Amino acid sequence: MRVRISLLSLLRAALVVLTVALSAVVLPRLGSVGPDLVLLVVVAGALLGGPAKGALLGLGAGWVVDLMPPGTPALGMAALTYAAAGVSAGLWHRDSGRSASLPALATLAAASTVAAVGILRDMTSGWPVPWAAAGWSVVLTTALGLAVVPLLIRAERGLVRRRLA
Amino acid sequence: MVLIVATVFLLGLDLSHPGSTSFLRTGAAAAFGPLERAMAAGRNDEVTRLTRERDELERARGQDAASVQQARQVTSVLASPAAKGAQLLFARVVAFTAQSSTTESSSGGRRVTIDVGYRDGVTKDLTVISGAGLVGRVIAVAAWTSDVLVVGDRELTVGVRVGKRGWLGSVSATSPVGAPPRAPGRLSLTLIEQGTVMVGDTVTTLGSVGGRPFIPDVPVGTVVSLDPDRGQLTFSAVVEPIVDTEALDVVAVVLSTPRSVPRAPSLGSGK
Repeated sequence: MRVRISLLSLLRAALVVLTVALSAVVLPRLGSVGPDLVLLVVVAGALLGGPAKGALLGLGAGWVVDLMPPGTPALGMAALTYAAAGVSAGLWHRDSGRSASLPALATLAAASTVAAVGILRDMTSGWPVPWAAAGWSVVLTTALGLAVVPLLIRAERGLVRRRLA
Repeated sequence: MVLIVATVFLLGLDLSHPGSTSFLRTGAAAAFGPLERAMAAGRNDEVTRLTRERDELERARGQDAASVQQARQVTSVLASPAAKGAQLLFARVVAFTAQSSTTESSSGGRRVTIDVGYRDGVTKDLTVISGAGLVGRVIAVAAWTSDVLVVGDRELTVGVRVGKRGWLGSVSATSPVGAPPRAPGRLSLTLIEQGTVMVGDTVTTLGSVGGRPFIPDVPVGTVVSLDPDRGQLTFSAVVEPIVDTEALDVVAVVLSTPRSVPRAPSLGSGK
């Protein structure tokens, strides 16, 4: 797989860093459970590029999540989780035809993947599983994805059409 | 594929040798820390002149309120018994465990980033307190930011004394085997020896050698309920933490220095 450094990938990287910083600095001050903003960027990229690109984007975004202070307890955990989420969102990639339900379904799949990884980790470690918080986060992320993912996709298609990326 | 293998390798390395990958975190903290600090500082709106003026006035009022609030918090830290005679380095909490890893923060991963680093004299394993009591301990230090493991994180265990008699025990977020499930945010107290604990007893830190990672006599919380005796080896209870870890703002790092003046011996009177 050849990766070209284009304006689009730079923009996407900036967006990922921005959303991760937002979720570390601003969102925790608003409430204990919030939507997963980073996941929406991953879903938009995966819907346009397919499972392989989704995995790569998820891996990169997950690394930023892992490394942004205060970071995650196990380095690389978020990277692999988001890579899996990128694959599950990329499976909804269609070459032709734009359905309005695709972004929602892809976001739901990706958010469920992230939640499932967390629940599995808690279960295998013998920790109490926060079912309500996990469920809420999936619902909030899907609801936000319904609005934001189509916008991100449209912005990206627009950039490509104007040959800016 | 190569990247995924490398990530799996690093995950294994991080889990098997904690601290071996700290250079990655330090590098990332040096790069992202300033960004987080800048974002936490507030943003500048530019709409029209009037709305800008209004916004500025509103913001000035808000900042006044915020600085009064912060001054109050600083005063309360300075006045707290644990701070007596200690060198304190004040800091603001700028970032929390990322919401994007939602399942982390909701299931007990509690870390925060504060806006002081090794340039300010912070080192690893220093105690962090607020006006009410214990916040946590420093686990990683970058140039201008540090990461703090906060009370309530599953990886944090604090040696404590309980009640007037000063029973020894430990407090952590993981409940002992056989104990009833805890409400979110509650901690578990396990006594080391046989002792009696009452509801309402205060729990304070025991203190460590050289004040690292914990200085003694910092309030951790109060006992809110006792676990039923089901024949377990050690007594356990539920502790309500005294610091609201969800709403941390101004905290202080205790720059503990080891004792340098020798303690004078006392003469027994023999009566």
